[in-house]
Amino acid sequence: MSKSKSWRDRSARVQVDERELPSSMPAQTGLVFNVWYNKWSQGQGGQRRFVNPFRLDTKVHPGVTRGDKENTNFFCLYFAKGMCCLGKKCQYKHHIPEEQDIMQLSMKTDVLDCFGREKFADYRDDMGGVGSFRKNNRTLYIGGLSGALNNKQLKPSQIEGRLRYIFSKLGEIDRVRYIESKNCAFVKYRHQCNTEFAKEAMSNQTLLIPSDKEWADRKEGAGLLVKWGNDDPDPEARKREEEEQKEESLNMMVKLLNNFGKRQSEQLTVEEKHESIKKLSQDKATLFDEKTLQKLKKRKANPETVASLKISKLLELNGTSNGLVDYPSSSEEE
Amino acid sequence: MSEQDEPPMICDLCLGDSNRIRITKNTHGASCKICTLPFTVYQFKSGKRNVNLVKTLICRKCAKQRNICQCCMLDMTWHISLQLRDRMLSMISRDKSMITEEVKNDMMRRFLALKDTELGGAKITSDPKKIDVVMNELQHILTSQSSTSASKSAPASDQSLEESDSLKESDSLKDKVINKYKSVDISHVLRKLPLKESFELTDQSKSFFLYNISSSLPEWRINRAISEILNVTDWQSETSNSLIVHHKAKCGGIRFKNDELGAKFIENLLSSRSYLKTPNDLKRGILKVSHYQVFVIPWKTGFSTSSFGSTTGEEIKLSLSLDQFLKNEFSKGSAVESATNKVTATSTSKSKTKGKVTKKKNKLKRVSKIDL
Repeated sequence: MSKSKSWRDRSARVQVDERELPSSMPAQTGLVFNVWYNKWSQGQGGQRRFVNPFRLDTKVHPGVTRGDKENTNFFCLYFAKGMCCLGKKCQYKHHIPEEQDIMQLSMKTDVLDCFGREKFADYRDDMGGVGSFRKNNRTLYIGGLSGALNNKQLKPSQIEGRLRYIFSKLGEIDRVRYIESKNCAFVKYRHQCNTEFAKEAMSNQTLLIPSDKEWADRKEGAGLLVKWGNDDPDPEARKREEEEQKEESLNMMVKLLNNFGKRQSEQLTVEEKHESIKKLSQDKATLFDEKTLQKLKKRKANPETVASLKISKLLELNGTSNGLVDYPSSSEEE
Repeated sequence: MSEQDEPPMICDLCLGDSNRIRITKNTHGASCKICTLPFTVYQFKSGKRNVNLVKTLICRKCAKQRNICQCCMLDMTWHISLQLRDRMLSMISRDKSMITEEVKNDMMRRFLALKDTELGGAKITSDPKKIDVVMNELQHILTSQSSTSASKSAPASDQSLEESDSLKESDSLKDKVINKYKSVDISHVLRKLPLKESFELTDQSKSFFLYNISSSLPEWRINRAISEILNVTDWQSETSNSLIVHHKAKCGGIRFKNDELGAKFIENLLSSRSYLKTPNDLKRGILKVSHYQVFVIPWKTGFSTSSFGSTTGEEIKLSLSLDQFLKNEFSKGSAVESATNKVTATSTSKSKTKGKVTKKKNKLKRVSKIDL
């Protein structure tokens, strides 16, 4: 990919200077400030909607960070919001999630999102927030369009065009649907990772562009509402979803089967080897061969339960697969 | 042994490669993400220089019930997500009970968490012997599948009968839809579509009209297919929407960065004989995306988001009229072909398309077979 090369060739930019960052303390809405929750209490409270003054520029901002060198799995949340003041010193990745990152992340964990935040069992009632680990949700609901346009009157096709343009920059799109009568849109990505990224990148953003005359007052508006999408009730869409899931499972089956076949052949060779060793050891008339002795030594050196758990598992595996030696200490583990 | 003394269930990938790991134990340190009961939290760093702390997020009992790692919640043996594992196993064993059901009620959740059972696919993946059985079964299914699907392609008459039945049904449905959208006027949309253009080298060929896009064809597949044909990934024009697909209207448009790329696109398609001729001597490019065929026409005037109808009614009407248009093109084309019976480029490409269609059927069949 020539596009990806370009970010790989340069180091990430500082998106905002630290001094220009807004105060982490929200505007006063109550009497007492709660340091723990970073919120004002004893007052109207009222979660006021706002417009994020910063935005991720997908052409200029991505680049290599310290996180890339340390091989981290997660992306910078502030980068997605367009306000990371660390630039190349950031310990998280500063680019749009790509295939490789997504593979790595899916191997790593199922409960953390692409920013390393923990997901929950259930969605929030308003479908905002980090989301659920029970469902592979790739659809975003986008609302608050009139607020994001400062009530500027636009043709539906213009709004759709703007949405498409912005969201297609943040990952591979599956489909976009703008529903004119409800004035909301649904964006579906190919990967959940991109969905999470786009959700953070686009919430509370304005839809105005610099050529609009309202551009100067964009902060007066309300910003986009980006939330998780529910299942599409359309029977056709459901069928499609099912088909997709089936395809995914099929691919995984083939993959597992290949692994299984490989492992079996490996096991066979290992067994052969062990048989030859067995003969050797029988010749020498020793109880243990060298390998198992070493392992046993190692085990003694590591009394910590968890670390030894790993090794004991290894030992167990070896023990069951070739049935070469049964060592008395294995009963302890069980 | 009480819960506190048991070693946590953590997979090797979470633990990392180092021989010695320092782990902090925190009794009743957090509430389990699944059952909301307090559990013993273990925290560690998978590598010495690693910044991120890994910690257990669900309790050992929940993990054991589902045979997943306490840290990453992936299956302990296969290292895939729980939903995917359950779906797969239920497909293999034709048993819906393989799907782990999650209760909504808080009390029920806690009650179930105390039980010593194995839920869903965990029954199989926690036992290496059962895995072997399932794998052998799967191997058997897949190998027999490929052989039967190859041999069964010929006697598909009963299948086609069924299909015609379903076609009739869909026809009546279609009539309903047509009646519903009869009053919708889309002449202003149709007027701008380049349906009378031919797929040939032109001087201005930045934009193209795509039609016959199946509603299950995602945009990224089309994007990939075009990149493959051109051998470049950044063919998209940067300043505007380069790929618009309206799945309801079953059509869309692409816009290349410059005219050269568009010309190259036409050339590549023509040279690979991936086009067909309509009876009116108009050429249609064929963009092959997985097992679908998307027809391509150059669009000299260009397009905008509104070119495919702006309301749902307009979009559906457009898809209907495009279907009609396609049918007309095809029926005439086949008539001409059978009358003249010439072995020309047209007919070869025709037969190609037919081959494709049967292939597509096969593929679909295979999927439905696996459905079991």
